Amino acid sequence: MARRYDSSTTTFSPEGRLHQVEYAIEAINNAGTCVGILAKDGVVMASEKKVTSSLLAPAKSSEKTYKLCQHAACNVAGLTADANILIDQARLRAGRYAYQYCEAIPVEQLVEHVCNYKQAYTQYGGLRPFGVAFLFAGYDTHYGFQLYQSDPSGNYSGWKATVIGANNQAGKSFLKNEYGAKKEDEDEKMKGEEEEKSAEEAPEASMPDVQEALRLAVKVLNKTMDATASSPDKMELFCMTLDDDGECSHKILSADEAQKVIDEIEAETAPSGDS
Amino acid sequence: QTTQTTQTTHPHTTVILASDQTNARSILTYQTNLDKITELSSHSAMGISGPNADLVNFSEYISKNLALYELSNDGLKLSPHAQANFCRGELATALRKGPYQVNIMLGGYDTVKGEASLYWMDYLAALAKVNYGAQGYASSFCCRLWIGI
Repeated sequence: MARRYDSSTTTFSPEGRLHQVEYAIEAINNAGTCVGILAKDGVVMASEKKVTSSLLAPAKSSEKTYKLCQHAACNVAGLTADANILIDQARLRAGRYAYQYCEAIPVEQLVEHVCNYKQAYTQYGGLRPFGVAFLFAGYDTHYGFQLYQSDPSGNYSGWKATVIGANNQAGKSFLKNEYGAKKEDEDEKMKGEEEEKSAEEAPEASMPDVQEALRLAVKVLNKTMDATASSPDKMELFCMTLDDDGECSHKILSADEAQKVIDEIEAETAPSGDS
Repeated sequence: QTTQTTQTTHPHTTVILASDQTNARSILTYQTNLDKITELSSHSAMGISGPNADLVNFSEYISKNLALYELSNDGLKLSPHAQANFCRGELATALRKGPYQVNIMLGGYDTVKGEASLYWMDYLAALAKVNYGAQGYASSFCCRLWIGI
C-alpha cells in the first residue's frame, strides 16, 4: 500500500513516514556489526570483518575504521562506497575548522556536520539517502572522550555503549546488562551495601577502562556474530586513548594483541574446567 | 590605543585592554565617547581602531559571528586563540578583495586552559601573541616604556 510513496525520498507517506530513509536503515542491518564502548580513559570500537572471498587481495587498510583527524575516528556499517563520500566530507570539515580557528573541531560539531550532509539527501534533490551508519569516536577538551552514532536519516546521538549493523538489537540488550556491571569478588561483596545504595541513587553504570571495554566489545561481537569460535581475523579492535603528551592516539590492535583479549575472555567464561 | 597586561609568575590570568574614545577626521572631532572595545564573549574583548566605517562593520561582523557560534553549539565558547585566528582569517580573506583598515588588540581568558592571552593584529592580517602591545599613536609612547620590561 505504501509502495506509491516509496520511490521518492522527498515524499512523505500518508502515515507520515519517509520510506526511503527507513529502507536505507534496513540496508545497514545486513552489514558487519560494529560495537562502540566509551571508557574512562578512551573509546573502543570493535567491528566484524566480513570476509567475502579468499581471492580478495589482502586489504592495505581497514574497511571499517577510518581516521577523520588527529582526535576523531569512525567505524562504518553499510555501503562502503557511500561511506567514502561521507568520510571525505568529515575530513574536509575537520580540516577547514582547523584552518579557520587553528584549533581542533569539537567532536559533536564534526558529527553534526556529517549528519546535516546526510539529512540533505532525505529532503532535497531526489537522490537516495546514504546507506551508512557510523560510530564516531573522538576526544576534545570540552567533553573529553565521546562516542556518537549516526544513521541515514541524519540523526545522531551520544552513547556510553552502542552497536550498529547485523544483530545490533542482541548486542545492545547484552550491553544493557553488562556495561558497567560490577564483577562479583571479595572486595566488592564487602562494599556490597554501599554499592546498593549508590546504585539506587546513581543509576549510571560505572565506566570501564579501555582494557575492560575491549573485553566487553569482544564479548558483544561473539554474541552478534554467527561464528562459533572468535579469532583475530574475524574482528577488528580499535582503541583511542591519550598518550603521555596529551595527544590522541589511534590504534588498531595487531593480531597478537587481539588474540590476547580473546584469550582473556575465554579464560573468564571457562574458569574451573576439568583439569 | 594602548594595551597592557599585568604580570604574574605563572600562567597569566588577567588581560587589560584600554583605548581612547576619539572619533575624528582631519579638522573635525565627531565624537569623544566612542567605545572602541567590543565584547566578543563573556571572557574576551577586542580593541579596534581605524576609520569608523570599518571599525564598526568589522567589530560587529566578528562579534555577531562569535555569538552565532555559541548559539549554534550549545553554549560552547571559542578560546581567545581560536577567536583571534578566526578574526585574522577574515582580515586575510578580505585583504585582496576589499581590506578592512583596522588594527586590533584582542584579549581574553581561556576557561578551559585557565589562562589569559593577548593578541596583536593589524590591517594586513598579521597576528602575534603578545604579553603587551599597542596599536596607533599610543605605540610610540608605550613601546618606549616597555623597553627592558
